[in-house]
Amino acid sequence: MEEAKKTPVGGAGPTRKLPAGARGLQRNARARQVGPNSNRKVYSNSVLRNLPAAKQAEIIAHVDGPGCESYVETAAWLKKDGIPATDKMISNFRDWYLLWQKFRDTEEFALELTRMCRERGWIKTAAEERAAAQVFFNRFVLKEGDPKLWSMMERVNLLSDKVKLEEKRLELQLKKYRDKGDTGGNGEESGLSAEEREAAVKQILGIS
Amino acid sequence: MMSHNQLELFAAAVLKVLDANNTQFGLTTPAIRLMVRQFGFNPSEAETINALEYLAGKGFVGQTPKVLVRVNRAWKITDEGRQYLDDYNL
Repeated sequence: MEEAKKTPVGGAGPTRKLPAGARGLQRNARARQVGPNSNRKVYSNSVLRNLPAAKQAEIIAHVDGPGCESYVETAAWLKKDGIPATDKMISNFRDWYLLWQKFRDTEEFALELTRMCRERGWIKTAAEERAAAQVFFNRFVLKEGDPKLWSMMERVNLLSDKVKLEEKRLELQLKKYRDKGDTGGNGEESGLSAEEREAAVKQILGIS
Repeated sequence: MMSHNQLELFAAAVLKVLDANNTQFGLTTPAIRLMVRQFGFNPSEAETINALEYLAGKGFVGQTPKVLVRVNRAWKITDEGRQYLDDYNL
């Protein structure tokens, strides 16, 4: 009978024998299974943070989406749905949501990488696993938020836009010349000979 | 060098960053320094550590996990910190 009392329920062994790191990972894994907001304290006055995840994403899509509605417009839209919101609340919520999303994605990535390291035998103990995951998480946070990287990406995007615009301009120019050719323009109408026209097109295209 | 009012806002920004981190991991000082830029701050390492230690003294943030080397410290918000943000609607 006494033995029965000592035997823990579940048969997995007493949890206090597990290393501290392993206990933490187990507990957090359990919390994640329930939902993203399950392990945080619920704000009494935070209307927007207590909304369902789909609605929260919808709010962000309203603010940052193609329509790019202002905070005031978004607040008005929410009020129509019966959610009391102000522009300041939306602003605070957006700041929080974007950071929260970034951290959540980074956590997943860090855990995935840690799992891979464990599978390959690079990490052996629970303490090492915890430390590695912690390091990965912070490294990715820094990498994603690196202003130099961001500035480089912006520059690349700008250049890509510029190239697209140039392409469009050339296409329009070519179309203009072709149309002239189709309508019987033999160069005399535009005052250019065939050779001159070819040279002009080559100049636009940057071909010497 | 931040003024007293700026320090107040900066401490609140640090709390907001830590509040958004709903993961099982803590944030190190460089990560916090980077994230508070979103709130208009560009603090030095020392300013960030000072703010974190001040907030830790208040019980608003805590270290996770406990480490011996200072540079390896990672921070998380506590329930008191969340309560503070909640009370002042920050």
